[in-house]
Amino acid sequence: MNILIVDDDPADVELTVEGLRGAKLAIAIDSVPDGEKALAYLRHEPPYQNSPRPDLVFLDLNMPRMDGRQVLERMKGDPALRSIPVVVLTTSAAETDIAQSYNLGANCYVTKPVDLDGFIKVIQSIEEFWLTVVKLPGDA
Amino acid sequence: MNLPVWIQRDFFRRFFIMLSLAILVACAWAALDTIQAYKRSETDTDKLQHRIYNISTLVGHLADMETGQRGYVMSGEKSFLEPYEAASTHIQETLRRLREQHEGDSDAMRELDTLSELVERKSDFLKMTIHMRASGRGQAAVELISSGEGQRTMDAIRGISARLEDADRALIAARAAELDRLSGRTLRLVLAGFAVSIVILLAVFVLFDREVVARRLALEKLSLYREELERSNQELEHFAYVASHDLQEPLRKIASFAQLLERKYRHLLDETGVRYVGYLVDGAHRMSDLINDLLMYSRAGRKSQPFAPVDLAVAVARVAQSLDVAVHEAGAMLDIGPLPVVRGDATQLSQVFQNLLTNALKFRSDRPPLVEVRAREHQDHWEFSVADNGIGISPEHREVIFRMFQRLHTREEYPGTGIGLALCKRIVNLHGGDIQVDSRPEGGSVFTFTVSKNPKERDQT
Repeated sequence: MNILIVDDDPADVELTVEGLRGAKLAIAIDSVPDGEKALAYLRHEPPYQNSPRPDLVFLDLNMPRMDGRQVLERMKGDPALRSIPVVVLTTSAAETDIAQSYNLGANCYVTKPVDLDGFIKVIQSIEEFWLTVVKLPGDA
Repeated sequence: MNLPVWIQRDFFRRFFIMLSLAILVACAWAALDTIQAYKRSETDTDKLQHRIYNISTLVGHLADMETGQRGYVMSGEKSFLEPYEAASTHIQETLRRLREQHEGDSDAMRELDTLSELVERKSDFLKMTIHMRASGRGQAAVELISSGEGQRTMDAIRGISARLEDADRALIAARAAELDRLSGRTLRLVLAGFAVSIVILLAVFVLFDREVVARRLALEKLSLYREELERSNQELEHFAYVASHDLQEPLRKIASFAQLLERKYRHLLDETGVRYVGYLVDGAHRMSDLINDLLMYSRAGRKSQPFAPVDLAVAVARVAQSLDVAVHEAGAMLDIGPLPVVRGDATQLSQVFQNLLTNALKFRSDRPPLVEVRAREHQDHWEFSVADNGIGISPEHREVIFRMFQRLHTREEYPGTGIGLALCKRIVNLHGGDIQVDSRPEGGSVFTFTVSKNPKERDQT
């Protein structure tokens, strides 16, 4: 299983990775720090020519250069990338952000819990749901 | 222009308007008075003219009689006696009228007495001469007439009548002159009065107008200031929200990684190290709580919904239910009396009761907590009380505890950031009331706060 984390905050990336540790399946995790690099990764453009196709994308909303909303728009507008499930994982709990994300085609929207335990629990349940419960396209 | 304060007083404005109206009324009265004087004078002049007429009529009659007499005595023609007869019947009537008209004037009456005598003498003389002629002594009659006696009497009569007429004429002239003077004075008075009252009215209205303009300008300025204040408040609100939101992020990092550090590297840390990490985490959590409370406090200052009727009985019952667990843990009893419906923000009012009830449970003494909630109606506000039998508050702290983040105990003794009561005070103030605490003689505290029956909403003021 391949997971791509799109988040500009390395600490948050590390926390997410920590949360995914102990997953039942073997997962390979990659991360990119902004939207431009995320699209390059997804399109296998340099320096990501050899990147795997992620089975799940964790997408933060507020990033420099190109933010999560724009990535979402482009992903869901691109027939080649449209089928990849996207979990919007962000600090914002604003109604406008939630509505907009779903409008742009996010598969689900999760607000990062404030405390460590809560955060870890949420990541684990996301992983459990999307990677073991749900059927993903391209499953053997 | 800065108007002296007294001009702005309504009383003085009204006073001056009344004054000018009074002047106008006085002018009208003076004019009416003069008109009446004219009418009176007309009547008087009429009377005087009548008198003059009667006097000349009398003389006329006598002249006619004389002519008749002369004619008859000369010619013996009876036809000459006709005017004589006619005139003589009128003499007495005229005299009588003259007496009537001169009533009250003693000088005139004396003259009239004399006149009457003379008239009688003349009449007798005429009668006598006519009689002489009629009885054949015509020559003697002529001689008598030529003696001039009749003539002399007639002259005397003319003299008196002339005097009477002149007197009356003089009276008429005097009256006319007096009237002229009076009307001239009245005219001047009325013109002056009009001028004065118009000036007063103009002054009042000009000044009043200035005052209205000044007031309107002040109101405009006020509303402009209010708009600016609103805008500045909104900006501040937004700033507070954004700041606190952005402050939470790094805190989360501190807390999360301190915990991760402790979990993953516990084996590398000694007891002191573990304790240090504990302080890190605790510090981060506390700061997070403070920021949240601060945000809540600032949001309470600006109500989110317009004021509406709030059924406090329902709201407080809900609050009590949410505290169910804490109540059971403390073995407490909540005694909530009847509560009214008030105007306000339901969420905020619930918050007040929540804070007070939570405090009552938190700061309990050895005895099982007993909390009483009561409401009392006053003319223009409601008074609520939350009384407990807890540890109480000493008098010197009564005011201080309502300040932001003010605590009376250490965090080990009792948890909390110390914002609860400051929040209550803010919300209560917003609803047009105030809050205070008193100690109960049997131990514990009673918090009393008031809620206005007609709280002024901020947007309305």
